[in-house]
Amino acid sequence: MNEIIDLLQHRQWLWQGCEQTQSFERVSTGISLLDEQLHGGLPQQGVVEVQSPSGIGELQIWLPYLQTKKDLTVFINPPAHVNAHQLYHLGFDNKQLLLIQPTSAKEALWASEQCLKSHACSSVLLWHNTLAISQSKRLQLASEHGKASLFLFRSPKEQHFSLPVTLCLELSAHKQGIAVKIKKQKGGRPKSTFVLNLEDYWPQLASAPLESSNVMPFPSAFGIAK
Amino acid sequence: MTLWLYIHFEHLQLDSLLSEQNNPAIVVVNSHTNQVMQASHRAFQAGIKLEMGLASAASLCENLQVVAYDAALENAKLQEVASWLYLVTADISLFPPNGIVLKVTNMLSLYKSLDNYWHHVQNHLADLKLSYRFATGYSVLGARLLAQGKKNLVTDNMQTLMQEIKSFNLQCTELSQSTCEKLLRVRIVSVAQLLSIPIADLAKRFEIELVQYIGRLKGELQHPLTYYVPALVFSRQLILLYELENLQWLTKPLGKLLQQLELFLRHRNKLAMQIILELQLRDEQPLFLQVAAAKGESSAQTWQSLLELKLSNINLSSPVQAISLSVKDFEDNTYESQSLFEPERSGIDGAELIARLQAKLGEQAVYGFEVYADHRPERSFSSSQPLSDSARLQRMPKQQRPSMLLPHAVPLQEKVTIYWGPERVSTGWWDNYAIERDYYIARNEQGQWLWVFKESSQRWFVHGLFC
Repeated sequence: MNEIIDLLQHRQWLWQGCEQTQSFERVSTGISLLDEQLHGGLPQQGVVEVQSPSGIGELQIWLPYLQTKKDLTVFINPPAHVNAHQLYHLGFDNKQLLLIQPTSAKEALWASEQCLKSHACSSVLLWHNTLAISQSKRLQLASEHGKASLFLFRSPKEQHFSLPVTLCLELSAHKQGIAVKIKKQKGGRPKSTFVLNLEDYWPQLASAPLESSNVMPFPSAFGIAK
Repeated sequence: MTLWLYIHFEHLQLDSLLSEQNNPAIVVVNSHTNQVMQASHRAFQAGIKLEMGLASAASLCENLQVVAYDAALENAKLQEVASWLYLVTADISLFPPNGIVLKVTNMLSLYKSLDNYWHHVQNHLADLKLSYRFATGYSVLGARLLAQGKKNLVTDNMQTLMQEIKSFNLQCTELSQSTCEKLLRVRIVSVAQLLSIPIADLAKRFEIELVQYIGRLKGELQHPLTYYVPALVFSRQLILLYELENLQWLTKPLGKLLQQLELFLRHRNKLAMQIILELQLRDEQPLFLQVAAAKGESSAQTWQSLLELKLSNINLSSPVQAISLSVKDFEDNTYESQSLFEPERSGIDGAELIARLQAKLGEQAVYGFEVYADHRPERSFSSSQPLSDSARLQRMPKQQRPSMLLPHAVPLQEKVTIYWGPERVSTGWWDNYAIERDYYIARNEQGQWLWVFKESSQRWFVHGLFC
C-alpha cells in the first residue's frame, strides 16, 4: 500500500491536504459582513466569479477593494459606459483606469489574459457570459502568474456549469440590499444566502422609498404603449 | 596642438561603381572639360593618364567604359563613409567631394597610441573596399596637403611632418593661381621658402588670404570645421529571395531587420516610438503596418512580439516579395532608476501592456479616461489616450453617481420606486448644451438601481445603472 502511495506521490498524481503550502491571503472588501463570510475578504489573486443581474450594485460592493490597489484597473467589455467621473470622485486616479472594448469574445479573453499576466494590472473586470472550463482555468493561471485578480461578471439567467474559480458568488436583489450566496470558495465551504445590508455604506440606496406617487413612467409624449 | 588625420579618397566614384566583370577599364570623365578624372587599374595599364582628353583615352583602349563624373554621388558616398567611420571615431569633418578629416587627439585616450588608433581605423575602412591616401598633421590643411600629395604618413613627430610639408611645391597647395604667380615673381616656388619669410612681412605685400592660409597650415590659426552628425533616419529594406505566402515565415527576415534597428538605436542611445513595416506584395499595393510603443522601445525582441501580434490579424491577398522597416519617431533613452534592493519586477509595465493590446486589438479598442469639472454627466468625462495625465479636481466622494452610464438616456418605460432625490442639474447655458434635469435614484421591480431624471417637460429618462 505504501509503495503505491509513494509511486503516486512521485508522479505527482496524489494531492495531500497537509502539503498545502499556498496561503489564502485575504484582502478586506471594506464591508465587514462580507469579510466575515469570506473568512477575511477576497483572495489576493485568482478569479472571482460574480453571477448577478446587472444593476443591483454588483460592481459597487467591490469598489472599496479596487480602490486599495495602486496598479491599473482594467474594464473589459462593460455593459455600458464606465462612469469615470464617479470613480474619480470616489478616489480612483483616472490614470489607473483602462477600458478595453474588443470586437469579439475571443479578443476579450485574450486581452484579459494579457492584462492578468502583465504584472501591470492589479484587477481586471471582465463581463463575459460564456466561458469554457479550459478558458477559465487559463485565466486562473494567468492571474496567479501576474498576481492580479479577475472579476468575472456573468448573468445568472444562463445555465452555468461550475467553473474552476477561486471564489464564486451569486448576487440577487433584495429589499434591504443584496442577497449574497457563496457558491464556492477555495479553502472554505459554500455558504447559504445572507443579506448584505448596504445602508451603512450607501445610505441613499437602501433607505425607505420616498413617496413615489408622482412618477409617471409611461409618458404619453413618447407614444409608447405598454 | 591638435593632431588631425586626413583621408583622401582618390577615386570614390570609381570605387562605388558596381562592376560585373573583373577589373574592366573604366574612366570617370568630367562632362564639362571631357578630361579623365578617375581611371581604373586596367585603364592605367592601357596607357590612360589623368587629365587626358576623352578622345585620346578612347583611342588608347578599345573597350573603355566611360562614366560621367557625378559630384552628388561622391558626396553621398562620403556621407556613407563618415557614418561608417563614426562607429570608431568621434570627431569627423567632411571635405566634399572626396576628403574626410578625423580629429585624432581626442581619440588617443581611448586607443592609447596613434598606431593603435590608425590600425583600428584602417581595419574598419577595409570593409568599404575603397582606395585612399592618408596623412596626419598638426593642422587640417597640413594633413590635407600631405594626403593629397600621396605621402601616406601617420606620425605625431612635428619635425618630420613640417619637413614633409616644406618639400611641397606651391602649385600643390590650395593657393589660388594668381597668388602663386605673384609669389613666383619674387622667386618663391616652394612651401619651405614661403614659410621662411616672417608673416608680418608677407602681410605687408600680399593679401590677407595668403597670411590666413599660412596661419592655418602651421596650425596657428583655427580652421573652422563643422563636425559630422549622423542623421537620425532608419529605413532598411530586405528583398526576400523567395515569395512568402505564410506570414509566420516572415519571423526570420523580420528579426534580421529588427536586430539592425536595435544596433542602430543602441549606438545612438535612442528609443523608437513607432515603427512602420511595409510589405511589398506581388501585383498589389504595398501593405503598411504601424506599431507603436507608448514609452519607446529599443529591444528587437519586444518589437518582434508586437509585430507578430499585428501580423496575426492580417490576411495576405498575394505573396510578399520584400519587406522594409522604418522608424517614425525617436526619443532619447532615459533610463529609469531602479532600486538595488527592491525585488525585481518580472512583468511588463503599463505602457508596454498597452502597446501590446493596441497592436493586437487596434488603437480604437483601448482607452483611458479624462475627467472634467462639469456637472453634466455626459460631459464630465471622456475616453482618451490610455495613461493620460491624472486630473486635478476637487473630489466629492459624497455625490451619488452611478457606476455605469447608458450611452444615451432612454425613456423610462417601467414602474419604479424613488429612493433618493431630486438633485437638480441645471447648467450649460453658455455652450449650447443647456440641460435642466432633476436626477433621482430609483429602483425597478427587478431590484435594479436606476439613475433617472425628469426634464422640465415632465418626461422621465433612465440615464445610468448603479452596477
